[in-house]
Amino acid sequence: MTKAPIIARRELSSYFYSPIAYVAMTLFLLATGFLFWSDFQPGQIAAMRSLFEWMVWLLVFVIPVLCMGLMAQEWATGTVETLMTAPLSETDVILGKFLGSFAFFMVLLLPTLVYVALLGMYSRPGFDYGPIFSGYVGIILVGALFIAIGLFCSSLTKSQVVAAVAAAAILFVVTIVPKWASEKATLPRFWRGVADQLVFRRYADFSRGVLDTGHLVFFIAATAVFLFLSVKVLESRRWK
Amino acid sequence: MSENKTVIPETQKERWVKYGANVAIASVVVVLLAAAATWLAQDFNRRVDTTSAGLYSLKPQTVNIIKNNKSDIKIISLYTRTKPNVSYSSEEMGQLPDFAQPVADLLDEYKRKGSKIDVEVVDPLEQPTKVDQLIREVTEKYGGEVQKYKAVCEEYPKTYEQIAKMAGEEAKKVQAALPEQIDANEDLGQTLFLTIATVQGFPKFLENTKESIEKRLKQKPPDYKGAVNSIEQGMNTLSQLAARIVDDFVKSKDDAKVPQKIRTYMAESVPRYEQIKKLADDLAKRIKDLGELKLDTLRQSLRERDAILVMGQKEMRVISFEKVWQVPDDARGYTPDGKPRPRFAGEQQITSAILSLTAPSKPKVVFLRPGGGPLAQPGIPGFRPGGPLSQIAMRLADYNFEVLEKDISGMWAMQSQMQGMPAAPEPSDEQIKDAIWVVLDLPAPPQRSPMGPPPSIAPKLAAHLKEGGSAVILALPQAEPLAAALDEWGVKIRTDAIAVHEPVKSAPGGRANDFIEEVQRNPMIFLLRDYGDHPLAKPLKSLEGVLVPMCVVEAWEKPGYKMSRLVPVPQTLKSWGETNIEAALRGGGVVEYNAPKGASLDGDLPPPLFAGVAVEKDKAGRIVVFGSVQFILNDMLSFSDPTLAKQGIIVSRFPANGELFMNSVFWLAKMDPMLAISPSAMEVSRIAEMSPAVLNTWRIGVLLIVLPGLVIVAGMLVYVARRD
Repeated sequence: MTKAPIIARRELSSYFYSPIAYVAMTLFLLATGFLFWSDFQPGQIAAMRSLFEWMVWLLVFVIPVLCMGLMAQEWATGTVETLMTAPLSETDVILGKFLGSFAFFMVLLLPTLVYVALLGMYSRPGFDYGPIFSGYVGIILVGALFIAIGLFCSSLTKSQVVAAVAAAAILFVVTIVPKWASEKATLPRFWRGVADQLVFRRYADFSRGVLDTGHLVFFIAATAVFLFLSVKVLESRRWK
Repeated sequence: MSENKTVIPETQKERWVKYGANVAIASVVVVLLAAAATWLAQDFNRRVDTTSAGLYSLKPQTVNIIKNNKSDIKIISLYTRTKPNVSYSSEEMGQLPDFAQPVADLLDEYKRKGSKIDVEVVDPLEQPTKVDQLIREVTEKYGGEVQKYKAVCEEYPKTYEQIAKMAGEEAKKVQAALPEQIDANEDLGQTLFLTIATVQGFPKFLENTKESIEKRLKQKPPDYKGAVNSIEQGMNTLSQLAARIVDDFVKSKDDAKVPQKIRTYMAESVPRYEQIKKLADDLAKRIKDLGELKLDTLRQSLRERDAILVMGQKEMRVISFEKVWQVPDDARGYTPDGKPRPRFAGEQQITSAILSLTAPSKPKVVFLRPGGGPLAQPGIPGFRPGGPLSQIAMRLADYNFEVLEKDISGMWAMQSQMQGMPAAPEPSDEQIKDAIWVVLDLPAPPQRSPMGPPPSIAPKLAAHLKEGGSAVILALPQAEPLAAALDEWGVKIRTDAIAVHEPVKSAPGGRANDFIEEVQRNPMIFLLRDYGDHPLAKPLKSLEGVLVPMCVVEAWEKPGYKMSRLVPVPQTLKSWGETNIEAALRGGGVVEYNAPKGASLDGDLPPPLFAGVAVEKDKAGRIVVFGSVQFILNDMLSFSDPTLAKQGIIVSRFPANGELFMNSVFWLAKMDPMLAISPSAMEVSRIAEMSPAVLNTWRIGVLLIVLPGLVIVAGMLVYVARRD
């Protein structure tokens, strides 16, 4: 696993060499800018809760695009064999790619700190940084999970488009569908319970300023599961 | 030899099965481990509320109540997100907080903390199906009453038909009995006309009532209560009319002036009208005996919108919008625009509703005054202000206490009687025997009453305490020290000495900028942040409060009693117990420390001083004594923080005052788990005013142009650099 940071660095720099990262970042900032627009007006509560909640929607579509090439490209171009001839384990490769994407995701979030600064400057009587902190913790955990899912989908196929669509579909099912479903009156109690266990309900606590160790463990465990599955998919090339 | 054995290579299928199964099992194990870790983490979770106001933390009292709750409770928010149910203009609407979200968040917290609590958020406008489900649930749960109401609604047509048939026959008979000509100016003529009109009008009247009833039954949910009320109203009217006809006929049937034919009809028809009256009376009585209709409570809350339902096993409570989002009337003047933001009292209201639904009995608190009018009586908004202790009484009521009040001298009732305005009845001695007494120890009025001075409260208090009762005693300077009751407990209220401090030295030339510094210029005013180490006082540490004026309370250890001093008088400034009370209270008088002299130690009381004490008798009652009354008056409890009030945020400047009293009552009621304070809720900051130019610079310039633009520029630079 000591080689993972090297892969991560390479992955991160490759993002900055590719136009898709800049396009995704620009679109993400435009979208969050528009969302923050309605929150940032005199008299409104100085908070970013609604922005954080909308961000999850954006990430359902942005992260699959960012992750689609992580492994699919290696499979398609055959560079995976070159990669695996290097003294690297499958875990190194998956972890490195995950960390590289995760680092880029952090860079993606970085400009949104300007919103925090604006709220800090203009909120009266004083700005409550607690919910902002927990909101960022939440979005980072959601981002990590989404990247792990994107990476897993990318490791399953040679086609980047298939990887992106599959990842977006999974993210949609684990995030948006339970949110919609839980709002339906006719949803049976059992399914309501299931919906409450998935991403959005858990993330909602972070966005409103509550840090819950149960949710922290959920996101970390779910991320670990998808990374494990990705490693197993990569290992499968040996016996398939 | 084993080396010579030929190794048969695995087939593709065998490899798939072998390694595939391995991966599948490993994956299942990892998923199960992750699920187990999440489940464990959820069960033993720790939650940190990062908001500075503790918006998402339930009060420890609430947590204790819901953790100890053994019966199923369901809490339903009926808040709609479209339009808040308040009279704000459309311009102000944009400035309003989201009323529905904090309620939903709060309900989440209740669900999380209480294993027996289920919550649901229903927007009546957006989710009509859920409303239908709710109606069904309420009907099933509290079905007894609904069935009774339904039965009345189903059976009333029979009675109606019977009455209509009888009335129709009577109308014909009365018509036939009428002579050709009647002098309408005579009484008899008028009576007959009225009777004819009334009897002939019966079927039409019944038909109209029936239509109105059917309309109500078609509503969603069916308005059984309204329908039954209409039936009752109709039956009462019918009964009155029949009674009047019977009266008239009984009077006139022997009147010689009345033609024989009519007299005969009158005599014969009286039992039939009595029968009509009986039918109407029977139905009206049946309706009167129906219990309260829970479904109607639900209907009311759906109509009002923005209500919270708290459903217990047998009972249900509805919490209205106004109770949850409270705007204190007396706070309007503090804000620049006269429109303070409503304060969120959701937790207080829901917890109180849960308490009232689950507690086996209601604890009682009685305010005992030595004379004069009621002090804790609630006001009627817009008509009459509440008594000076009405706010603290309301707080007690919110925690499911039954609040009573009694003039121990009985003089107020006599005075009111003499003035021709009888006072509302007050509880008897028997009724307050098991209550917690709040004894208001006030000085005798300066003007002599024709009925003589009020009797001392001390003997009654002593008797109450001897019988194992508990009391909180609040004393004013120059009042009776109640030695007859308190000596035995090792307590002495020095109503002849008040705590004062040396004057605060402030910046020369006018008002000090600091509010606290300004108020402390008065030697009687101490800003308190420490209330002692007793369990009732410990949670209040650092919370600001003011007791003014504070009589010194002395206490000493006595065998069989456990004593703990409360409210230490701060010594940051030189302080003492001033015995020249007149000078101290006047304000302008010279207040300086006179050390005790001579054998009798005449003079002021040296520090350390205390303004309260809590004493517990072994296996018996408890008392709490404070050398102040004013600290729980409405004016003190609602005294707003002037800085925040300018921003429209109304919060108490001295929050410890109310909490100290409430904790004392909780301790006396042996409700020790309730001893805590709450984080003040819902005080969030807002984005300040700025000019449209500045706003647009940030919104368009920075958010939409500069930030995305920088990314594009960076991308182009990388592209150019890499191309080169």
